Amino acid sequence: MNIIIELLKKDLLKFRWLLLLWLALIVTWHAALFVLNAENFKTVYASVSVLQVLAILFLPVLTLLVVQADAAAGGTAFWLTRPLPPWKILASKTLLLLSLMVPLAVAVFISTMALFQSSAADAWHKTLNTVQLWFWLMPLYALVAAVTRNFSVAFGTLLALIVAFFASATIFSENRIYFYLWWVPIAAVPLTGVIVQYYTRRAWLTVSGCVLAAVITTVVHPPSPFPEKQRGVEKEPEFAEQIAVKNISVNARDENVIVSGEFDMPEHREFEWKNFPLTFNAANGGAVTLLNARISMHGQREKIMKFSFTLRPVELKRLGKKSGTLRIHVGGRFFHYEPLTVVPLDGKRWMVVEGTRITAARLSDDADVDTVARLLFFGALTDIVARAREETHLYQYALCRADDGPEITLQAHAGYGMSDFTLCAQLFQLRTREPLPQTLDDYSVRISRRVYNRKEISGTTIEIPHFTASGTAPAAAEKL
Amino acid sequence: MNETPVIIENLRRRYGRLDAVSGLSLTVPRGSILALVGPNGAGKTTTLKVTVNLLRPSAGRATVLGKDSRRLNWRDFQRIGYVSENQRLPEFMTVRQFLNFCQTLYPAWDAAFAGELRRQFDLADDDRLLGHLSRGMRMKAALLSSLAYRPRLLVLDEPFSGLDAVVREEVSRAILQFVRDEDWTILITSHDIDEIERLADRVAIMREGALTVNESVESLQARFRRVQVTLPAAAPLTVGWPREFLRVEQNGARLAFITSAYESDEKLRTALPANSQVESLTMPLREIYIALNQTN
Repeated sequence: MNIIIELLKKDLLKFRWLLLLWLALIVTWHAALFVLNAENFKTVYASVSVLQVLAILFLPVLTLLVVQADAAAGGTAFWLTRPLPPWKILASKTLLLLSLMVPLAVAVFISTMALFQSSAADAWHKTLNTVQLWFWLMPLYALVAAVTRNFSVAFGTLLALIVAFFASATIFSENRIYFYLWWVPIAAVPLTGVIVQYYTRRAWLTVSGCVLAAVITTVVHPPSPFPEKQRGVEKEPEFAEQIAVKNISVNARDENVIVSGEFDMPEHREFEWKNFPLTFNAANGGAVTLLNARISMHGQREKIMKFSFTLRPVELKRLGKKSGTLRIHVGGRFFHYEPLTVVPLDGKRWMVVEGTRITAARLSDDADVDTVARLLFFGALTDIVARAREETHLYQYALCRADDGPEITLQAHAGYGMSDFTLCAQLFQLRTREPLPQTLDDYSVRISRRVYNRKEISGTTIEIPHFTASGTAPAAAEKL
Repeated sequence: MNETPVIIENLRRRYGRLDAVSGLSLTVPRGSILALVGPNGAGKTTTLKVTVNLLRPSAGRATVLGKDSRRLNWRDFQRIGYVSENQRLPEFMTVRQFLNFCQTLYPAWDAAFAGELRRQFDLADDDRLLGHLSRGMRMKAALLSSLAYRPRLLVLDEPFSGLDAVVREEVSRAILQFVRDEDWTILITSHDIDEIERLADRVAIMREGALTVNESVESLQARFRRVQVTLPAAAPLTVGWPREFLRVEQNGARLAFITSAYESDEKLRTALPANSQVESLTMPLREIYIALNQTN
């Protein structure tokens, strides 16, 4: 144990500045999260993203350096002619590398607790989710460092591996679903390689160890991306497949909004998650993760997944200055269901739109007619958008005009783009040129719709029948 | 345990198509200092690296402290010291930190002995970083870290490289003292033939991966002599001298050469014209080495 501690102290001494830099990076990254509610949301989010990417790049560099400080390749290493058991070197390196995760875990935990006012359990869950990805990749970095003679060769090898991985995944994986790769072989194979390399320092034995570990882990559990094919079950659904949500209900309760619903679980799917991330994608960029959602299994036979989540004041406050779309990552994979749109009206008022219907609205007691009118317009507008989406996935635009009254322009801008990894969020914007009249009696609306397609632009005008909303604002809201 | 510390048998080490060491056989007796000398690229460092399992032999084997060098593990290095001119020390450590670190590695670390060595090597109370030390001081720190646990076998690869005369003297004196007092075995390579002459019991000269000479310094100096001969006036010019006559130079009646098979002046005269006057001089190891290299 004494030797392990001494080795650890040696490496801490050697890499003290880099470790401090790592700590500073983590602290700055998470400190920046605390200003995400600022007006310059997009800028802050971009800064956070940059810091996160820096941290992601920094970790392999640090791992390479730490392992190479006592590398198992080449003939000049200090420890090779000293009475240092390889397992003690590996233990000290493991301790040091794991300690790199500590500031990350603490930062994630604290920021989750403080920023999202989450429970300790939720925060711990988020922490594990965040740290595990970094943790799984460490053995791979360590293997590269262990079998190479110096940092430049190690760094080049790692870059080549990353490029080769993405190239092969792009070429051979029809759906490009990298995340189906099973983490166990990803960690176990390089870890075996590292151990064999340190004990034998012979490349062919290291490669053999990796192959053996890959075979064993594959036999125990066939790795993705083709596990279902190997087990003779149904093929994975297409990347863009949506899961239909049924029986959705959105209810305002006290200060909270409770959204629940259910969806049919694909037969080949096996959901084991009790928690799943819920992300609010702001219209002007950036994302806010909501952590309090719960998903529960509702009957194995029916294969129905029932979910619910609560938007608490803290989340609503965070969403208050932004409009955007709630996005549910089902199972943390590429299945996104995006029927819910939160449209904050101001700091206290918001509405939740499920598909084409406004399903819940929280109005303050002194809510004015303007608010109600917006809700009405928005309901009609989203209906158009929803229909437009059936015709094109490219772009929609709608203009609303109020006859015989001050002109009101509402824009609906629903982008449905798709990239390899993300579905574009729907984007809704409400703009008012002039204040609405104080009453909505005999208020008529004409809504024009234009659908921009790749090949043609068509315009349609839809007349919305008169509708009347009068009285106090909450009463008008009930008509929704 | 009275096993011979180092036995090298038909050792071959290839780098691609190049034979760095080819068919080397060598024995280092217990309590002796064997010096491996030879020109650059002769295979000395490769031989030492195979000995301490930094390289694996392509063929043949090296037995170190009774164990195949390929099977040497961390426990064996509690009894083996290795210092190389190219060894990378943890330069971010101070001398004190480095020695404290080494102390934890060796159960047999003798703190009093280490303290004595630190004074002897002028390293006492040194809180400078190893990276900031001169080459000589770094070498002394490396030596100290490999001496303080009293290894049974000390493998030194060019320990005098870059050291000034004073430091060389200190290191040589220390090594001689340990061998005399502690019965250590030392395998050393060096280009400093004068130091080798002071230190080594045996000399093994390597050339192009093979051994050309392997014998004690005394024996080598006994059979190599610089000979100056005054030939009789009537003596005919001789063209073919014996093979053991090296670097033969004749200037009229004066003949000078080095013999590699000296036994006595009388025996020497038998190979020379009658009535020749012979004067034989002992040679320092450096001249023997140069003569051998130039002749080969």
